Amino acid sequence: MMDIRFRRRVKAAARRWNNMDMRLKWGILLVIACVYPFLASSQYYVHIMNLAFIYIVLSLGLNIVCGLAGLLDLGFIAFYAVGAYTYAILSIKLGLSFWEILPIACVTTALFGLLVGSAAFRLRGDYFAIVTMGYGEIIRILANNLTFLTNGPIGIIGIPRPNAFGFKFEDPSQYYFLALAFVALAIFLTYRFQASRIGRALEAIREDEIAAVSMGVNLKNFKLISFIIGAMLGGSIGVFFASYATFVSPESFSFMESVMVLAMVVIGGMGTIEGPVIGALILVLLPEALRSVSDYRMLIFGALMVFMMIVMPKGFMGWIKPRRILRTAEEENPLVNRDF
Amino acid sequence: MLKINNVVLRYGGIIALKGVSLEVNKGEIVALIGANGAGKSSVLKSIMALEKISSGEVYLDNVLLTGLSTDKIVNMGLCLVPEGRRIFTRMSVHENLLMGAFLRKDKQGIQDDIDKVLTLFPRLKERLVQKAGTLSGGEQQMLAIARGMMSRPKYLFLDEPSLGLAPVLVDEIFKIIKEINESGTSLLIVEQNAVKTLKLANRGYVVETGNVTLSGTSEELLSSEHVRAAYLGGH
Repeated sequence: MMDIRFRRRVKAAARRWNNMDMRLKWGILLVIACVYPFLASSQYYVHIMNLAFIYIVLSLGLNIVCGLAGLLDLGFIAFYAVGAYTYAILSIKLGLSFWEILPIACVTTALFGLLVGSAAFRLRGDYFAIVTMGYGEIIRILANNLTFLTNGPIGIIGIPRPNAFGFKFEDPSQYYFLALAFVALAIFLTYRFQASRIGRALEAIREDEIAAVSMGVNLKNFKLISFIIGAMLGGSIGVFFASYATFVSPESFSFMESVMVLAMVVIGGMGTIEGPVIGALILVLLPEALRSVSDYRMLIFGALMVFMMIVMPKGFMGWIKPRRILRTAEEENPLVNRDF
Repeated sequence: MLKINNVVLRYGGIIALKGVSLEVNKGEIVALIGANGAGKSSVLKSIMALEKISSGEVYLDNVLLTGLSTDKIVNMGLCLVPEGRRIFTRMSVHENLLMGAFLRKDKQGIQDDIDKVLTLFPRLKERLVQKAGTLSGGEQQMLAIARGMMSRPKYLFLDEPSLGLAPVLVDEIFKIIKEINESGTSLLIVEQNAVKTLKLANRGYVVETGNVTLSGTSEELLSSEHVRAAYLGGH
């Protein structure tokens, strides 16, 4: 077992970090992130971090739906798929550039979010979750079968890479700062969104739907807004993914991907902003760090995930949060009274 | 004037309200008393469109409210303080109050009203930045009422405000309810605590198995044989 003194020290350091000014905290992280590619010994490490960045944006998007509005979405990866395919198809068939497609993809994913959202929000709780699982699969199956558009299971290859001011993004370290910009923007927007009137309404819905309605919150509209904002974040990073991998196929958007993103949000700490970032970093970097034990990699990874959920049932951010005397029963155990 | 005309409410096969009619005049406190499951809360939920009524109408100053969504009804100056407080436990007291003013856009007015409810509930002032879930039961009830006041309602509906509170706190809450009424808000109060509520109210209705069986001024109800036997413990 872990040495108790070591654990205390980790917690104390984490708390000190947690109590730091928000801007300073993100500033330090940004500096570290900017230096990272120059210290990385090979392009491979930069590539892994690019993947982590993609998942950070995805989990921030899902966090708006799950963490803020309290809706369990098991098909989130569909928005990522719509964004990726939008870029793949429009760049190849119409020759549009990355910067032209990015806003278009945001609009298509938003519309898609509106479409599935208005159907899914007729249901609640577990039934809602099942429907979201369904649309996640529908998108994957459509990508598999609409061969004239998506090239079916073979996928679309040779997707053009983005350009900026005559500079062409080629290798991972060039993409790195583009991905970092996506992450920074996503974090900034999430902060603004959470502090806004809409953000507060979503939290109210998560806390108590009946009370929220009684205050005049239109449940359906606000749930849809959370869905659309989350979808747009997912869709925009989907565009980045397609341009980075230069290849998309239905395989990349399986149900397990949705589950992974959800796991990132939960392990990091739902409803916080640092949480999904930490969760994504852990779940992307950990399997890489475990490569040395090749055959047992996934076994250890799975065991660590179970272990983390036992030690930190409220996710990493919940774990390091100061344990005030005045904590509510629901805070102690988030599974009580939580109607997804 | 708020007028409820012949409202019928069904939950599946069960008829919760079998044609309830009642009125709340401007400036009044009206009590709705009755046993558990008589349909008192269903009346409030029907007014607020939290439940869809099968037939009947609700009018506010001769404007039909039936068919409007809850947020529109809140916007017209009606507000429900739901049973069991239902405050947002993981938000601060301040955020809870802001949620109460959710449909309002006048920032200055909201700030003024926060100051106003905090003078009405001085206990909340001390706890403004605290998470609402950490408040005591009485304080939570105060917060629920204060939050309801934040929408500046013309008509405020209180569903069991004394539920689960110590007698001292019940007196304090009832005193504040009186003050709220004196500042111009009309109130419809659903309560099990019939004596206290009728003493506070101008008029009252007795609800039994989905029907209004008796109505009148508080004095009339307090002296009625039937009410005394059924709800006032016979003395």
